Amino acid sequence: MRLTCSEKDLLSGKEGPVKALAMSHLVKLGEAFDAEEMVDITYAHMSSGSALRSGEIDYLSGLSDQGARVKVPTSSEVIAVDLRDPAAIGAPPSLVKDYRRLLAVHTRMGIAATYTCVPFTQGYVPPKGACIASMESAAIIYFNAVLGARTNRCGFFVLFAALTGKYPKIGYLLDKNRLGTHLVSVQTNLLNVTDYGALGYHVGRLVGGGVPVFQGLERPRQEELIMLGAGLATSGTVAMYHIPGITPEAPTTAAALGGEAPGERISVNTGDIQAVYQHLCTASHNTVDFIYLGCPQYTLEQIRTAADLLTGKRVHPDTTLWIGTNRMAFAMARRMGYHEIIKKAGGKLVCDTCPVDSFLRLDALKKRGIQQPAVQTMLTDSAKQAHYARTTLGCNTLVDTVHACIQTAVRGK
Amino acid sequence: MTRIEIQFKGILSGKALGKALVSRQPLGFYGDIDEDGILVAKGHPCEGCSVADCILIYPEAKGSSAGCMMLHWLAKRGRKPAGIVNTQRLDPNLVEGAILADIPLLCCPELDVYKWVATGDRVEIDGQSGLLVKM
Repeated sequence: MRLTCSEKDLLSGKEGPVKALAMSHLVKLGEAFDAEEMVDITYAHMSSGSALRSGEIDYLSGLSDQGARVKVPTSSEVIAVDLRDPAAIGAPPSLVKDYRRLLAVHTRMGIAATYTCVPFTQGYVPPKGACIASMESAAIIYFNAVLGARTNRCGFFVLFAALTGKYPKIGYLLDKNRLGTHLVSVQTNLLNVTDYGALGYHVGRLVGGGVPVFQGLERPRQEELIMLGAGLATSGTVAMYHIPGITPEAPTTAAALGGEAPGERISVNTGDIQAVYQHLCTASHNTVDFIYLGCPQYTLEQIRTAADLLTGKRVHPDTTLWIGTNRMAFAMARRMGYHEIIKKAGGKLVCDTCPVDSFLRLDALKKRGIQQPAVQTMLTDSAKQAHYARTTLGCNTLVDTVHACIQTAVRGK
Repeated sequence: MTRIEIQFKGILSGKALGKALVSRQPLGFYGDIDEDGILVAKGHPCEGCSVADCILIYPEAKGSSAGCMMLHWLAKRGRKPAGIVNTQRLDPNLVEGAILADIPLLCCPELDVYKWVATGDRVEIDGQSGLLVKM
Protein backbone atom coordinates (compact mmCIF):
# COMPACT_ATOMS: atom_id res chain seq x y z
CA MET A 1 0.00 0.00 0.00
CA ARG A 2 1.22 3.52 -0.82
CA LEU A 3 1.49 5.74 2.23
CA THR A 4 1.98 9.51 2.27
CA CYS A 5 4.72 11.12 4.34
CA SER A 6 2.30 12.11 7.10
CA GLU A 7 0.87 8.57 7.15
CA LYS A 8 4.39 7.15 7.47
CA ASP A 9 5.00 9.56 10.34
CA LEU A 10 1.88 8.33 12.11
CA LEU A 11 3.03 4.74 11.60
CA SER A 12 6.53 5.40 12.89
CA GLY A 13 5.24 6.91 16.12
CA LYS A 14 5.90 10.61 15.54
CA GLU A 15 2.44 11.32 16.98
CA GLY A 16 2.83 8.88 19.84
CA PRO A 17 2.49 5.14 20.43
CA VAL A 18 -1.33 4.98 20.38
CA LYS A 19 -1.63 6.59 16.95
CA ALA A 20 1.21 4.38 15.69
CA LEU A 21 -0.65 1.27 16.86
CA ALA A 22 -3.90 2.55 15.35
CA MET A 23 -2.18 3.25 12.03
CA SER A 24 -0.47 -0.13 11.96
CA HIS A 25 -3.85 -1.87 12.49
CA LEU A 26 -5.43 0.18 9.67
CA VAL A 27 -2.56 -0.62 7.29
CA LYS A 28 -3.00 -4.35 8.00
CA LEU A 29 -6.73 -4.04 7.36
CA GLY A 30 -6.05 -2.25 4.09
CA GLU A 31 -3.53 -4.84 2.96
CA ALA A 32 -5.95 -7.66 3.79
CA PHE A 33 -8.43 -6.12 1.33
CA ASP A 34 -5.86 -5.08 -1.30
CA ALA A 35 -6.17 -1.33 -0.67
CA GLU A 36 -3.82 0.82 -2.72
CA GLU A 37 -3.93 3.79 -0.40
CA MET A 38 -5.47 5.45 2.64
CA VAL A 39 -8.09 8.19 2.61
CA ASP A 40 -8.58 11.08 5.02
CA ILE A 41 -11.81 10.67 6.91
CA THR A 42 -13.69 13.67 8.26
CA TYR A 43 -16.02 12.00 10.76
CA ALA A 44 -16.38 8.75 12.72
CA HIS A 45 -19.32 7.02 14.41
CA MET A 46 -17.97 4.36 16.72
CA SER A 47 -19.12 1.55 18.97
CA SER A 48 -19.23 2.92 22.52
CA GLY A 49 -17.83 -0.25 24.04
CA SER A 50 -20.12 -2.52 26.00
CA ALA A 51 -20.09 -3.33 29.70
CA LEU A 52 -22.02 -6.50 28.78
CA ARG A 53 -18.95 -7.89 27.04
CA SER A 54 -15.71 -8.59 28.84
CA GLY A 55 -12.69 -6.44 28.14
CA GLU A 56 -14.26 -3.72 26.00
CA ILE A 57 -14.35 -0.86 28.49
CA ASP A 58 -10.90 -1.81 29.81
CA TYR A 59 -9.49 -1.67 26.29
CA LEU A 60 -10.75 1.88 25.67
CA SER A 61 -9.79 2.95 29.15
CA GLY A 62 -6.25 1.65 28.57
CA LEU A 63 -5.95 3.79 25.43
CA SER A 64 -7.24 6.88 27.20
CA ASP A 65 -4.73 6.31 30.03
CA GLN A 66 -2.04 6.63 27.35
CA GLY A 67 -3.48 10.00 26.35
CA ALA A 68 -5.39 8.87 23.26
CA ARG A 69 -7.69 11.50 21.77
CA VAL A 70 -9.74 11.38 18.58
CA LYS A 71 -8.53 13.41 15.62
CA VAL A 72 -11.87 13.89 13.80
CA PRO A 73 -15.41 14.60 15.06
CA THR A 74 -16.57 11.34 16.60
CA SER A 75 -20.00 10.28 17.83
CA SER A 76 -20.84 7.07 19.67
CA GLU A 77 -23.39 4.27 19.49
CA VAL A 78 -26.13 3.29 21.96
CA ILE A 79 -25.18 1.71 25.29
CA ALA A 80 -27.02 -0.79 27.51
CA VAL A 81 -28.64 1.66 29.94
CA ASP A 82 -30.22 5.12 30.00
CA LEU A 83 -27.72 7.21 31.95
CA ARG A 84 -30.16 10.13 32.18
CA ASP A 85 -32.68 8.27 34.33
CA PRO A 86 -31.51 4.65 34.73
CA ALA A 87 -33.87 3.85 37.60
CA ALA A 88 -36.96 4.71 35.54
CA ILE A 89 -36.34 1.70 33.29
CA GLY A 90 -34.92 -0.54 36.02
CA ALA A 91 -31.32 -0.56 34.80
CA PRO A 92 -29.06 -2.52 37.19
CA PRO A 93 -26.91 -0.12 39.31
CA SER A 94 -23.69 -2.08 38.70
CA LEU A 95 -24.07 -1.62 34.94
CA VAL A 96 -24.86 2.05 35.39
CA LYS A 97 -21.62 2.39 37.34
CA ASP A 98 -19.68 0.74 34.49
CA TYR A 99 -21.21 3.12 31.97
CA ARG A 100 -20.49 6.19 34.08
CA ARG A 101 -16.87 5.08 33.97
CA LEU A 102 -17.14 4.64 30.21
CA LEU A 103 -18.64 8.12 29.87
CA ALA A 104 -15.59 9.56 31.65
CA VAL A 105 -13.32 7.65 29.22
CA HIS A 106 -15.25 8.98 26.20
CA THR A 107 -15.07 12.51 27.56
CA ARG A 108 -11.30 12.27 28.08
CA MET A 109 -10.82 10.97 24.55
CA GLY A 110 -12.97 13.67 22.97
CA ILE A 111 -15.66 11.21 21.82
CA ALA A 112 -19.14 12.78 21.88
CA ALA A 113 -21.33 10.73 24.22
CA THR A 114 -24.25 10.80 21.79
CA TYR A 115 -25.19 7.14 22.46
CA THR A 116 -27.31 7.11 19.35
CA CYS A 117 -27.98 5.01 16.26
CA VAL A 118 -29.04 8.08 14.22
CA PRO A 119 -26.12 10.53 14.55
CA PHE A 120 -27.16 12.23 11.28
CA THR A 121 -30.15 13.71 13.13
CA GLN A 122 -27.81 15.38 15.62
CA GLY A 123 -25.56 17.58 13.56
CA TYR A 124 -23.35 14.89 12.04
CA VAL A 125 -24.26 15.49 8.40
CA PRO A 126 -21.21 14.73 6.24
CA PRO A 127 -21.66 16.14 2.74
CA LYS A 128 -21.72 14.26 -0.56
CA GLY A 129 -18.41 12.57 -1.30
CA ALA A 130 -17.01 12.88 2.25
CA CYS A 131 -15.16 9.74 3.34
CA ILE A 132 -16.17 8.72 6.85
CA ALA A 133 -15.97 5.63 9.08
CA SER A 134 -19.20 4.45 10.65
CA MET A 135 -20.57 1.40 12.39
CA GLU A 136 -24.34 0.84 12.99
CA SER A 137 -25.98 -0.54 9.88
CA ALA A 138 -28.92 1.91 9.97
CA ALA A 139 -26.55 4.88 10.08
CA ILE A 140 -24.13 3.50 7.47
CA ILE A 141 -26.88 3.09 4.88
CA TYR A 142 -28.30 6.58 5.57
CA PHE A 143 -24.87 8.20 5.22
CA ASN A 144 -24.27 6.42 1.90
CA ALA A 145 -27.70 6.52 0.30
CA VAL A 146 -29.33 9.70 1.59
CA LEU A 147 -26.36 12.00 2.25
CA GLY A 148 -23.97 10.63 -0.40
CA ALA A 149 -21.12 10.44 2.11
CA ARG A 150 -18.98 7.29 1.88
CA THR A 151 -18.53 4.65 4.53
CA ASN A 152 -18.04 0.94 4.76
CA ARG A 153 -19.85 -1.35 7.16
CA CYS A 154 -17.13 -0.64 9.68
CA GLY A 155 -16.69 -2.41 12.98
CA PHE A 156 -14.45 -1.87 15.96
CA PHE A 157 -11.72 -0.27 13.82
CA VAL A 158 -13.74 2.96 13.60
CA LEU A 159 -11.88 3.71 16.82
CA PHE A 160 -8.53 3.61 15.01
CA ALA A 161 -9.95 5.68 12.16
CA ALA A 162 -11.12 8.26 14.70
CA LEU A 163 -7.68 8.35 16.36
CA THR A 164 -5.78 8.83 13.09
CA GLY A 165 -8.28 10.42 10.68
CA LYS A 166 -7.42 7.65 8.20
CA TYR A 167 -9.10 4.59 6.69
CA PRO A 168 -8.00 2.24 3.91
CA LYS A 169 -9.65 2.97 0.56
CA ILE A 170 -11.77 -0.15 0.20
CA GLY A 171 -15.37 -1.25 -0.39
CA TYR A 172 -17.98 1.51 -0.50
CA LEU A 173 -15.32 4.23 -0.60
CA LEU A 174 -14.75 3.20 -4.24
CA ASP A 175 -17.11 4.38 -7.03
CA LYS A 176 -17.48 0.96 -8.62
CA ASN A 177 -18.89 -0.66 -5.49
CA ARG A 178 -21.60 1.97 -5.07
CA LEU A 179 -23.42 1.34 -8.35
CA GLY A 180 -26.84 -0.30 -8.36
CA THR A 181 -27.07 -4.07 -8.78
CA HIS A 182 -30.84 -4.65 -8.57
CA LEU A 183 -33.69 -2.60 -10.02
CA VAL A 184 -36.60 -2.67 -7.59
CA SER A 185 -40.00 -1.57 -8.81
CA VAL A 186 -42.33 -0.76 -5.91
CA GLN A 187 -45.89 -1.42 -7.04
CA THR A 188 -47.75 -0.87 -3.82
CA ASN A 189 -48.69 2.17 -1.75
CA LEU A 190 -46.68 2.53 1.42
CA LEU A 191 -49.07 3.95 3.99
CA ASN A 192 -46.77 4.82 6.91
CA VAL A 193 -43.24 4.66 8.31
CA THR A 194 -43.70 1.04 9.40
CA ASP A 195 -44.48 0.03 5.81
CA TYR A 196 -41.14 1.52 4.70
CA GLY A 197 -39.40 -0.68 7.27
CA ALA A 198 -41.26 -3.70 5.92
CA LEU A 199 -40.29 -2.79 2.34
CA GLY A 200 -36.64 -2.55 3.38
CA TYR A 201 -36.84 -5.85 5.20
CA HIS A 202 -38.38 -7.58 2.17
CA VAL A 203 -35.86 -6.18 -0.33
CA GLY A 204 -32.87 -6.79 1.99
CA ARG A 205 -33.73 -10.48 2.04
CA LEU A 206 -33.69 -10.58 -1.76
CA VAL A 207 -30.57 -8.54 -2.51
CA GLY A 208 -28.28 -9.66 0.36
CA GLY A 209 -25.18 -7.53 -0.03
CA GLY A 210 -26.33 -5.84 -3.25
CA VAL A 211 -27.18 -2.22 -4.03
CA PRO A 212 -30.89 -1.84 -4.83
CA VAL A 213 -32.18 0.98 -7.03
CA PHE A 214 -35.78 1.88 -6.19
CA GLN A 215 -38.43 2.97 -8.62
CA GLY A 216 -41.97 3.95 -7.68
CA LEU A 217 -41.32 5.61 -4.33
CA GLU A 218 -43.01 9.00 -3.95
CA ARG A 219 -40.96 11.66 -2.19
CA PRO A 220 -40.24 9.89 1.10
CA ARG A 221 -39.91 11.85 4.34
CA GLN A 222 -36.75 11.68 6.46
CA GLU A 223 -38.25 9.22 8.93
CA GLU A 224 -39.37 6.97 6.08
CA LEU A 225 -35.85 6.92 4.62
CA ILE A 226 -34.40 6.10 8.04
CA MET A 227 -36.80 3.17 8.40
CA LEU A 228 -36.28 1.93 4.83
CA GLY A 229 -32.52 1.78 5.37
CA ALA A 230 -32.83 0.12 8.76
CA GLY A 231 -34.98 -2.62 7.20
CA LEU A 232 -32.62 -3.18 4.26
CA ALA A 233 -29.62 -3.50 6.56
CA THR A 234 -31.40 -5.92 8.91
CA SER A 235 -32.46 -8.76 6.65
CA GLY A 236 -29.57 -8.15 4.25
CA THR A 237 -26.13 -6.61 4.56
CA VAL A 238 -27.12 -3.67 2.36
CA ALA A 239 -24.90 -0.60 2.88
CA MET A 240 -26.06 1.47 -0.09
CA TYR A 241 -29.22 2.01 -2.12
CA HIS A 242 -30.35 4.52 -4.69
CA ILE A 243 -33.57 6.43 -5.07
CA PRO A 244 -33.01 8.36 -8.29
CA GLY A 245 -33.55 12.06 -7.64
CA ILE A 246 -32.93 11.67 -3.92
CA THR A 247 -29.63 9.82 -3.58
CA PRO A 248 -27.08 12.59 -4.29
CA GLU A 249 -25.00 10.57 -6.74
CA ALA A 250 -28.03 9.22 -8.62
CA PRO A 251 -29.88 11.96 -10.50
CA THR A 252 -31.35 9.27 -12.76
CA THR A 253 -31.86 5.52 -12.78
CA ALA A 254 -29.23 5.22 -15.51
CA ALA A 255 -26.71 7.04 -13.33
CA ALA A 256 -27.54 4.79 -10.38
CA LEU A 257 -26.82 1.74 -12.52
CA GLY A 258 -23.65 3.24 -14.03
CA GLY A 259 -25.20 3.10 -17.51
CA GLU A 260 -25.43 -0.70 -17.39
CA ALA A 261 -28.49 -2.95 -17.39
CA PRO A 262 -29.47 -4.04 -13.86
CA GLY A 263 -28.16 -7.43 -12.75
CA GLU A 264 -31.62 -8.36 -11.56
CA ARG A 265 -35.14 -6.91 -11.56
CA ILE A 266 -37.47 -7.18 -8.61
CA SER A 267 -41.07 -6.12 -8.35
CA VAL A 268 -42.67 -5.56 -4.96
CA ASN A 269 -46.42 -5.81 -4.45
CA THR A 270 -48.80 -5.49 -1.52
CA GLY A 271 -48.58 -9.21 -0.76
CA ASP A 272 -44.81 -8.97 -0.27
CA ILE A 273 -45.24 -6.27 2.39
CA GLN A 274 -47.98 -8.27 4.11
CA ALA A 275 -45.71 -11.33 4.13
CA VAL A 276 -43.11 -9.36 6.12
CA TYR A 277 -45.72 -8.53 8.77
CA GLN A 278 -46.74 -12.17 8.90
CA HIS A 279 -43.14 -13.27 9.30
CA LEU A 280 -42.44 -10.81 12.11
CA CYS A 281 -45.71 -11.31 14.01
CA THR A 282 -45.34 -14.42 16.15
CA ALA A 283 -48.05 -13.84 18.76
CA SER A 284 -51.48 -12.27 19.18
CA HIS A 285 -52.10 -8.73 20.42
CA ASN A 286 -53.55 -10.02 23.70
CA THR A 287 -50.14 -11.25 24.93
CA VAL A 288 -48.32 -7.91 24.54
CA ASP A 289 -46.48 -6.77 27.67
CA PHE A 290 -43.87 -4.42 26.14
CA ILE A 291 -44.29 -1.77 23.48
CA TYR A 292 -41.22 -0.25 21.91
CA LEU A 293 -41.19 2.77 19.62
CA GLY A 294 -37.88 4.22 18.49
CA CYS A 295 -35.94 1.81 16.30
CA PRO A 296 -34.09 3.66 14.92
CA GLN A 297 -34.29 6.27 17.70
CA TYR A 298 -37.30 8.55 17.29
CA THR A 299 -36.91 12.03 15.85
CA LEU A 300 -38.57 14.98 17.57
CA GLU A 301 -41.38 14.80 15.01
CA GLN A 302 -42.06 11.15 15.85
CA ILE A 303 -42.06 11.94 19.56
CA ARG A 304 -44.59 14.68 18.86
CA THR A 305 -46.87 12.18 17.11
CA ALA A 306 -46.58 9.74 20.02
CA ALA A 307 -47.26 12.52 22.54
CA ASP A 308 -50.35 13.62 20.58
CA LEU A 309 -51.67 10.06 20.66
CA LEU A 310 -50.99 9.79 24.40
CA THR A 311 -52.50 13.13 25.40
CA GLY A 312 -55.07 12.55 28.13
CA LYS A 313 -54.50 8.78 27.98
CA ARG A 314 -52.97 6.36 30.46
CA VAL A 315 -50.71 3.39 29.64
CA HIS A 316 -52.31 0.19 30.96
CA PRO A 317 -50.63 -1.09 34.16
CA ASP A 318 -49.91 -4.49 32.54
CA THR A 319 -47.94 -2.97 29.67
CA THR A 320 -44.64 -1.10 29.50
CA LEU A 321 -44.16 1.61 26.87
CA TRP A 322 -40.68 2.80 25.93
CA ILE A 323 -40.12 5.51 23.36
CA GLY A 324 -36.42 5.51 22.47
CA THR A 325 -34.60 8.64 21.42
CA ASN A 326 -31.36 10.56 21.83
CA ARG A 327 -30.31 13.41 24.10
CA MET A 328 -30.85 16.17 21.53
CA ALA A 329 -34.37 15.14 20.60
CA PHE A 330 -35.07 14.56 24.29
CA ALA A 331 -34.01 18.09 25.19
CA MET A 332 -36.36 19.50 22.56
CA ALA A 333 -39.15 17.12 23.59
CA ARG A 334 -38.82 18.41 27.13
CA ARG A 335 -38.87 22.00 25.96
CA MET A 336 -41.97 21.37 23.88
CA GLY A 337 -43.81 19.59 26.68
CA TYR A 338 -43.92 16.19 24.90
CA HIS A 339 -41.84 14.54 27.63
CA GLU A 340 -44.31 15.70 30.27
CA ILE A 341 -47.27 14.30 28.29
CA ILE A 342 -45.58 10.92 27.80
CA LYS A 343 -44.52 10.74 31.44
CA LYS A 344 -47.97 11.70 32.68
CA ALA A 345 -49.45 8.93 30.54
CA GLY A 346 -47.12 6.41 32.16
CA GLY A 347 -44.85 5.97 29.15
CA LYS A 348 -41.06 6.30 29.27
CA LEU A 349 -39.10 8.53 26.94
CA VAL A 350 -35.78 6.69 27.02
CA CYS A 351 -32.34 8.01 25.97
CA ASP A 352 -28.96 6.39 25.24
CA THR A 353 -30.11 2.81 24.80
CA CYS A 354 -32.21 0.35 22.79
CA PRO A 355 -33.92 -2.84 24.07
CA VAL A 356 -31.90 -5.18 21.87
CA ASP A 357 -28.59 -3.73 23.10
CA SER A 358 -29.69 -3.25 26.69
CA PHE A 359 -29.67 -4.99 30.05
CA LEU A 360 -32.89 -6.74 28.89
CA ARG A 361 -30.85 -8.99 26.58
CA LEU A 362 -30.91 -12.69 27.46
CA ASP A 363 -27.10 -12.79 27.75
CA ALA A 364 -27.10 -9.80 30.10
CA LEU A 365 -29.84 -11.35 32.26
CA LYS A 366 -27.99 -14.66 32.36
CA LYS A 367 -24.87 -12.95 33.73
CA ARG A 368 -27.04 -11.70 36.61
CA GLY A 369 -28.40 -15.21 37.21
CA ILE A 370 -31.80 -14.52 35.64
CA GLN A 371 -32.95 -17.33 33.32
CA GLN A 372 -36.37 -15.97 32.29
CA PRO A 373 -36.74 -13.46 29.44
CA ALA A 374 -37.71 -9.97 30.64
CA VAL A 375 -40.25 -9.51 27.84
CA GLN A 376 -42.93 -11.96 26.76
CA THR A 377 -44.29 -10.25 23.64
CA MET A 378 -42.95 -7.03 22.18
CA LEU A 379 -45.09 -4.84 19.94
CA THR A 380 -43.09 -2.36 17.88
CA ASP A 381 -43.47 -0.17 14.79
CA SER A 382 -40.10 -1.33 13.43
CA ALA A 383 -39.27 -4.45 11.42
CA LYS A 384 -35.66 -4.12 12.54
CA GLN A 385 -36.49 -4.11 16.24
CA ALA A 386 -38.80 -7.12 15.88
CA HIS A 387 -36.15 -9.05 13.96
CA TYR A 388 -33.47 -8.60 16.63
CA ALA A 389 -35.76 -8.72 19.69
CA ARG A 390 -36.73 -12.29 18.94
CA THR A 391 -33.24 -13.65 19.38
CA THR A 392 -31.59 -11.16 21.74
CA LEU A 393 -34.54 -10.79 24.16
CA GLY A 394 -36.07 -14.22 23.53
CA CYS A 395 -39.59 -12.80 23.11
CA ASN A 396 -42.46 -13.01 20.66
CA THR A 397 -42.92 -10.01 18.41
CA LEU A 398 -45.63 -8.02 16.69
CA VAL A 399 -45.20 -5.18 14.21
CA ASP A 400 -47.82 -2.50 13.69
CA THR A 401 -48.15 1.27 13.16
CA VAL A 402 -47.41 3.82 15.89
CA HIS A 403 -51.17 4.41 16.20
CA ALA A 404 -51.86 0.72 16.84
CA CYS A 405 -48.87 0.46 19.20
CA ILE A 406 -50.12 3.28 21.39
CA GLN A 407 -53.70 2.03 21.26
CA THR A 408 -52.50 -1.35 22.54
CA ALA A 409 -50.34 0.31 25.20
CA VAL A 410 -53.41 2.12 26.52
CA ARG A 411 -55.86 -0.77 26.21
CA GLY A 412 -53.49 -3.37 27.62
CA LYS A 413 -53.46 -7.01 26.57
CA MET B 1 0.12 -39.97 6.62
CA THR B 2 1.00 -38.03 3.54
CA ARG B 3 2.16 -34.48 3.72
CA ILE B 4 -0.22 -32.16 1.90
CA GLU B 5 0.33 -28.56 0.88
CA ILE B 6 -2.52 -26.23 -0.02
CA GLN B 7 -1.95 -22.73 -1.34
CA PHE B 8 -4.15 -19.92 0.01
CA LYS B 9 -4.08 -16.17 -0.19
CA GLY B 10 -2.13 -14.95 2.83
CA ILE B 11 -4.20 -12.26 4.56
CA LEU B 12 -2.40 -11.64 7.85
CA SER B 13 1.20 -12.68 8.30
CA GLY B 14 2.66 -14.92 10.98
CA LYS B 15 3.30 -18.65 11.33
CA ALA B 16 1.19 -21.03 13.39
CA LEU B 17 1.33 -24.74 14.12
CA GLY B 18 -1.48 -26.65 15.78
CA LYS B 19 -4.30 -29.16 15.59
CA ALA B 20 -6.93 -28.41 12.99
CA LEU B 21 -10.47 -27.71 14.16
CA VAL B 22 -12.61 -27.99 11.05
CA SER B 23 -16.17 -26.67 10.72
CA ARG B 24 -18.09 -26.81 7.48
CA GLN B 25 -20.53 -24.24 8.87
CA PRO B 26 -19.86 -20.50 9.29
CA LEU B 27 -18.91 -19.44 12.82
CA GLY B 28 -19.36 -16.22 14.76
CA PHE B 29 -16.91 -15.41 17.54
CA TYR B 30 -19.69 -13.57 19.35
CA GLY B 31 -22.38 -16.13 20.08
CA ASP B 32 -20.89 -19.39 18.83
CA ILE B 33 -17.79 -19.27 21.05
CA ASP B 34 -17.81 -18.43 24.76
CA GLU B 35 -15.41 -16.34 26.81
CA ASP B 36 -13.24 -19.39 27.55
CA GLY B 37 -12.87 -20.19 23.86
CA ILE B 38 -15.29 -23.14 23.91
CA LEU B 39 -17.43 -23.68 20.85
CA VAL B 40 -20.97 -23.50 22.22
CA ALA B 41 -23.04 -23.36 19.00
CA LYS B 42 -25.95 -25.72 19.66
CA GLY B 43 -25.86 -28.88 17.56
CA HIS B 44 -22.55 -28.01 15.93
CA PRO B 45 -20.43 -31.14 15.25
CA CYS B 46 -17.58 -29.57 17.27
CA GLU B 47 -19.82 -28.33 20.13
CA GLY B 48 -17.81 -28.38 23.37
CA CYS B 49 -14.39 -28.22 21.66
CA SER B 50 -11.93 -25.50 22.59
CA VAL B 51 -10.61 -23.23 19.85
CA ALA B 52 -7.55 -22.34 21.95
CA ASP B 53 -4.24 -23.00 20.13
CA CYS B 54 -6.08 -24.64 17.19
CA ILE B 55 -5.89 -23.87 13.52
CA LEU B 56 -9.55 -23.02 13.03
CA ILE B 57 -10.77 -23.87 9.52
CA TYR B 58 -14.29 -22.81 8.43
CA PRO B 59 -16.05 -21.23 5.45
CA GLU B 60 -16.59 -17.68 6.71
CA ALA B 61 -17.27 -15.57 9.78
CA LYS B 62 -20.85 -14.61 10.51
CA GLY B 63 -22.82 -12.53 12.95
CA SER B 64 -22.15 -9.61 15.22
CA SER B 65 -19.24 -7.21 14.88
CA ALA B 66 -18.69 -7.84 18.62
CA GLY B 67 -16.79 -10.93 17.45
CA CYS B 68 -13.83 -8.65 16.87
CA MET B 69 -13.38 -7.75 20.54
CA MET B 70 -14.10 -11.35 21.52
CA LEU B 71 -10.95 -12.42 19.67
CA HIS B 72 -9.00 -9.72 21.49
CA TRP B 73 -10.42 -10.99 24.79
CA LEU B 74 -9.47 -14.60 24.02
CA ALA B 75 -5.94 -13.47 23.11
CA LYS B 76 -5.61 -11.60 26.37
CA ARG B 77 -6.60 -14.71 28.30
CA GLY B 78 -4.36 -17.04 26.28
CA ARG B 79 -7.36 -18.81 24.74
CA LYS B 80 -7.12 -17.62 21.13
CA PRO B 81 -6.85 -19.89 18.11
CA ALA B 82 -3.27 -20.19 16.83
CA GLY B 83 -4.39 -19.53 13.27
CA ILE B 84 -7.56 -18.97 11.25
CA VAL B 85 -8.36 -20.27 7.78
CA ASN B 86 -11.49 -19.11 5.92
CA THR B 87 -12.41 -20.99 2.78
CA GLN B 88 -15.16 -18.83 1.29
CA ARG B 89 -15.36 -15.17 2.15
CA LEU B 90 -13.28 -12.75 4.15
CA ASP B 91 -15.36 -10.91 6.72
CA PRO B 92 -13.96 -7.45 7.62
CA ASN B 93 -14.95 -7.81 11.27
CA LEU B 94 -13.08 -11.09 11.56
CA VAL B 95 -10.02 -9.51 9.94
CA GLU B 96 -10.22 -6.69 12.50
CA GLY B 97 -10.37 -9.23 15.34
CA ALA B 98 -7.48 -11.26 13.98
CA ILE B 99 -5.35 -8.08 13.67
CA LEU B 100 -6.10 -7.11 17.28
CA ALA B 101 -5.38 -10.63 18.51
CA ASP B 102 -2.33 -11.05 16.24
CA ILE B 103 -3.54 -14.26 14.59
CA PRO B 104 -2.25 -15.39 11.15
CA LEU B 105 -5.09 -15.57 8.63
CA LEU B 106 -5.52 -17.33 5.29
CA CYS B 107 -8.35 -17.22 2.76
CA CYS B 108 -9.30 -18.43 -0.75
CA PRO B 109 -7.78 -21.96 -1.04
CA GLU B 110 -6.76 -23.39 -4.40
CA LEU B 111 -7.98 -26.87 -3.35
CA ASP B 112 -10.97 -28.20 -1.40
CA VAL B 113 -9.44 -28.09 2.06
CA TYR B 114 -12.30 -30.10 3.59
CA LYS B 115 -11.33 -33.07 1.43
CA TRP B 116 -7.79 -33.14 2.77
CA VAL B 117 -7.85 -31.77 6.31
CA ALA B 118 -9.96 -33.08 9.20
CA THR B 119 -10.33 -32.08 12.84
CA GLY B 120 -7.31 -33.30 14.82
CA ASP B 121 -4.81 -33.22 11.93
CA ARG B 122 -1.59 -31.35 12.66
CA VAL B 123 -1.28 -28.40 10.32
CA GLU B 124 1.05 -25.48 9.88
CA ILE B 125 0.09 -22.20 8.24
CA ASP B 126 2.16 -19.29 7.02
CA GLY B 127 0.23 -16.05 6.60
CA GLN B 128 3.04 -14.52 4.56
CA SER B 129 3.32 -17.17 1.84
CA GLY B 130 -0.30 -18.32 2.18
CA LEU B 131 0.75 -21.95 2.51
CA LEU B 132 -1.07 -24.52 4.64
CA VAL B 133 0.84 -27.76 5.29
CA LYS B 134 -0.75 -30.88 6.73
CA MET B 135 2.00 -32.84 8.50
